[in-house]
Amino acid sequence: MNPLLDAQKTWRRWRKENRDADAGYRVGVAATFTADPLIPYVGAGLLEQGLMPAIELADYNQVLALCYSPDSYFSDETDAIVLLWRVEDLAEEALDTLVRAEDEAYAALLAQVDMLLDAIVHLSNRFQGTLCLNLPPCPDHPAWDLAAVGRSAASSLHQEICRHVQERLREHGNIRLLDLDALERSLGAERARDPAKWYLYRQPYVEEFHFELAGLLARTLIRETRPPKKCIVVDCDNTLWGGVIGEDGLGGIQLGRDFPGSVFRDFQRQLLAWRAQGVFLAVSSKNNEADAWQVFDEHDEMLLRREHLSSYQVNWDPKYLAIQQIAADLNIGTDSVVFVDDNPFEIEQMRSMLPEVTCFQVPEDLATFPKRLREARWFEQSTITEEDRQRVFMVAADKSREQLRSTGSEAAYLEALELEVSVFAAMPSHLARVHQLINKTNQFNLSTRRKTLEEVTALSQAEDWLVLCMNAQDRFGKYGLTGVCLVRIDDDVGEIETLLMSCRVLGRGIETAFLSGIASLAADRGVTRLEGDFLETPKNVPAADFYPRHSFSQQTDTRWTSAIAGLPGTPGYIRLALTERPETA
Amino acid sequence: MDPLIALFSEVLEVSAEDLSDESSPDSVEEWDSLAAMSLVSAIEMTFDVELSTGEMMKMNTIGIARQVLTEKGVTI
Repeated sequence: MNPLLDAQKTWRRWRKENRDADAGYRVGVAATFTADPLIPYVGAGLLEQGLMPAIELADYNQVLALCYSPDSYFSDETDAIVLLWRVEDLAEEALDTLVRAEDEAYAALLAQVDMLLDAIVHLSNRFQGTLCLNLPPCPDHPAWDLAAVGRSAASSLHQEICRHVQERLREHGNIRLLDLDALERSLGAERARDPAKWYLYRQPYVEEFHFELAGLLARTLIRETRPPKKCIVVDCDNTLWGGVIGEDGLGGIQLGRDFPGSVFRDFQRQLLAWRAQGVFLAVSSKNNEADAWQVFDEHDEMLLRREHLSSYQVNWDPKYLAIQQIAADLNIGTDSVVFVDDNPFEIEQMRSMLPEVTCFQVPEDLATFPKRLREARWFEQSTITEEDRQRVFMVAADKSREQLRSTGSEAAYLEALELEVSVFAAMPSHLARVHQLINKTNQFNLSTRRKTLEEVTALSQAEDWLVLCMNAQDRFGKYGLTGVCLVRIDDDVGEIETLLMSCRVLGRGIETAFLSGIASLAADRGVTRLEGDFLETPKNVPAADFYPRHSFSQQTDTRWTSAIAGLPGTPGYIRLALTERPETA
Repeated sequence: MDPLIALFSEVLEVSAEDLSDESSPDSVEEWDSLAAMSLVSAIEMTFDVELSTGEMMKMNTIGIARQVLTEKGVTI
């Protein structure tokens, strides 16, 4: 059966059988062209990922108006707004003028693009959900050929517009850009367009293009609702290389420049690229350790080295035990693990024992292996911060810390750690990380109040707010920016609106040092008393005793307070640094 | 079931019993301009044909759609 017709059917059936009120995820779509065919494919794509979507489509060519009053087009519970536009719809006349070789039309055209961007920025500042916008495809019209015009202004136009869009929207953390031009090129720009439907319905694209665009859109939206995977655990034989090392020996396994060894080499290249983004690499292999390491240490074509692995389990135990151990080593949940193996038995066993693990079986047609992995996009996140990149290196230091702990008493351990905590006001370069922590920290989070990047930025500039960050390090390495505190100053009272720390730094008295740093910086602003709420969530148990443990007294169900003078000091084994400006991480 | 009636029934979300070769936008409430667009795409995909603007505009009854497809060598 045709997958496009299948998707349409799935969507129609879902709509017939479910009431709009039951939807769990609401998307609003608007386009400068007829985009109706997109809807069933987006719907089916979101359904397939387990969301219960409702999709609203604004009337044709209402993009600008919608930006200024989204409520008159979409439900006020909308989770995501998708705006699709093309230069040729937005600025038809200016483009015509330009094609007729009148270069001054160039500025008029960019002004029209700016008008759209103004509207989108306006919406982005007010809309709490995800905003998807496309980078426009290279302008095209049945009547003319931009490339054939040959004017320098005309030919650089598209690149210029794309660059301009990216630059103007860079600071807006809730906007996701869809590269419609790349999508057109991957299908073939000529094949993507349908002049008949354009003239009859103002629908420029063939059905297949809508299908592909919907796929891209669904993947982008899904990524917003699910955290990216953190770790990829791979098998060795017939996964990292072709053949079985225990039987074929170092000379017999396939790895290198020729097929099929080239496929395995490409897989290793992918792994290293993910590692550079902060993804943990780990190995789970049923092998003799010596055999497996011989390949890592001695095979000339092996790109992956032992030191690239954040954890490994090479033994004959069932692999679900290996995954549990690896996840424990790395202090992550098994639900953020991707498991790659060539053996259908291992995949099946993993699926039944640990259904939360994402499994990928090396495909029989090896040529499709790297591409299918690439398309899964498990590790993509909207922004990659410096801490993400550093994470894999920080974990190596964690292992050394564990070894130190196992050698002596807790007190001696803490003393020997040589902990340093610095607390400082957030600079613009910290705001992306602050925003990320505010929106993803669940456990040690006293109030779990989420914020947009724009809100965080505004608070960091507000007179009566302190946006404080914490860095921690010990003799084994830096933990990076792992704590955030927002304090609202009202005369001599500092209200702790948000206080959170990454789990990575819990349990060593670091939170006490952080509080002491917050108190000192607040005292510098005339504050004598701190107040704050503990708002219970299903996940923030680790933070529940923070206030009582630090001598705060309870005022109401949620509100705690203490005079700054009455707070416990920084533990003796931690050096606390208060800095106007932090050293760069 | 007749594959063309089945297609119209699926896309228009109307029972097949209520459709015949005489059905048109005037007799089927669900057959609006938006549905017409979906019908064209569904016909093109299901029967693997490409329709011209003239053919798209002409298909004002299921019977005419059948005639257009027959002329294009589709046996239904």
